Amino acid sequence: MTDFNYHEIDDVIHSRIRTAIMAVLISVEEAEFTFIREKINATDGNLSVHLKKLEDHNYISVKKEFVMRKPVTRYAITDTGRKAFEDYIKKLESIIRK
Amino acid sequence: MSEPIIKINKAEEEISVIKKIMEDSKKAIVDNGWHYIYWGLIVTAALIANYIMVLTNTSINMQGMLWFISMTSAAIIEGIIERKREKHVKVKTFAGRLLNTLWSGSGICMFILGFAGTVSGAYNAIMIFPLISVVLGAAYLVSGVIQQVKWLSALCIFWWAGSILLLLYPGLHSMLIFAVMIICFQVTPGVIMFVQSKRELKLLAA
Amino acid sequence: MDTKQAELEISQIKKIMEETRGILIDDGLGFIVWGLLISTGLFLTYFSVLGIIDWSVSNYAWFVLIGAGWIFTIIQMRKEKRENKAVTFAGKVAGAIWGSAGITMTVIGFVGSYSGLVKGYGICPLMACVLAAAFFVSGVIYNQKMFRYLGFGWWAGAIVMFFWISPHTLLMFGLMMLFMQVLPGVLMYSKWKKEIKAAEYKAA
Repeated sequence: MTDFNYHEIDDVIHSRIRTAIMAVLISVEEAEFTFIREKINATDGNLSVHLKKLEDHNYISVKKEFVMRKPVTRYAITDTGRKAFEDYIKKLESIIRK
Repeated sequence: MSEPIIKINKAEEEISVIKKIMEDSKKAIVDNGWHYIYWGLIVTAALIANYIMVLTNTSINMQGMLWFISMTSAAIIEGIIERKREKHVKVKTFAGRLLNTLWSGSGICMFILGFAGTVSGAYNAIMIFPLISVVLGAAYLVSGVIQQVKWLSALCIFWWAGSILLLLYPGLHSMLIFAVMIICFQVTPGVIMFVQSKRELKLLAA
Repeated sequence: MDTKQAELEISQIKKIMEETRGILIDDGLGFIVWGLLISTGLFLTYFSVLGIIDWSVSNYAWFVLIGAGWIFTIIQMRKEKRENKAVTFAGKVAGAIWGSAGITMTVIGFVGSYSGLVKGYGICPLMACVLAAAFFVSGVIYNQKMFRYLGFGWWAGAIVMFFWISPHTLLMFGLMMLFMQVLPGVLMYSKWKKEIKAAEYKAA
């Protein structure tokens, strides 16, 4: 038995850009801001807003560091985020199979 | 009628690709540490038996046979247990597959180093211990990375330091030093992993 | 959300996930550089055994070659840290495998021969045995059966070299390096180049 409810859809993930961000981050260990931007073709401002929303819901974690004196921001999916994305895929699967 | 079926098949195919990638990127696997304890205890027992054989000067020419029989039978028994266990495993992860390949690869490597190297006369039998230690160091480093357990990776330092020590100061005591290393850096981590996995399972059940 | 939307979303998610993973494969340069350096050292030692060149040349050459190899690896690692904008699980494990195999071979090669416990002809099969394990495990990471077969090939070579006590094992090991390490490295490099070009073409 799972506590997953097929009738509910996760609004945090259910947005074109946020779904794309989650798809990128679930495929890697961690990724830089610029990497995600290149992968999903979003503008800096737009991407920042969506990343913030995912971060606020603890779906992704942020790490800021300096590499060769340049500031680098790295993002990674959290366990909560992974579980949410898995449930989201299950939901899409159930809609298709309906 | 056929178009929706084709579409659903395509979508299902895509879902299976997504699931595969998600499974592959999962690093956390719960290892109950039994392999570490099992092999650690068998190797320690064989080491003590070998040490006594040398000290008491009994069946000296049977040393190779002692290792061959104990290691081969241990590997066969483990293979049987693993096959039985695999039937009950519901999810196979990329990390789990990697870990299995890593330890079977290291096992083959240690087997060849232990037997082919000494039988051919490329090095003295006492050399087996530093060679096995250096391979174990590499295996522990990679295992820790796969399981995302930093202290497991850090054990490589002790294995490599021990290997250099055994290479520079070989002797009969090498067997005892190696036995202590096995207990400290293999059996003990195995027990820690066992306790941790029990605790995690309890938490999951709760 | 209706079925059509769900299908579209699934398609987009799959595309992004495949593209994210696809581009991050190994370029094979490490295989090529280390393979060439080690085979050069082996051929020089072989010539020393045959009396063609002085022993001091091959002895010094080993220090230079291994040193050059580690310098190349450190530069590559720094470059990767600077340029790689994403870290994959498989990439991290591959780094750990080859890094630890390198340390293992350095300990065996230098400490083993310095202590005099490993006879000269014993070094080659020892190295081959460690390389075999590294190739064997890499097969799972790169998802290529070729690497697993290479692992068995290296183990078979190691057993042959253990029992065939001859200076020609140096030549054999050098040739194995060229055909079973440099060549797969070249294949990986051309595949990587092709993927990069395809990704650039897509982006354009």
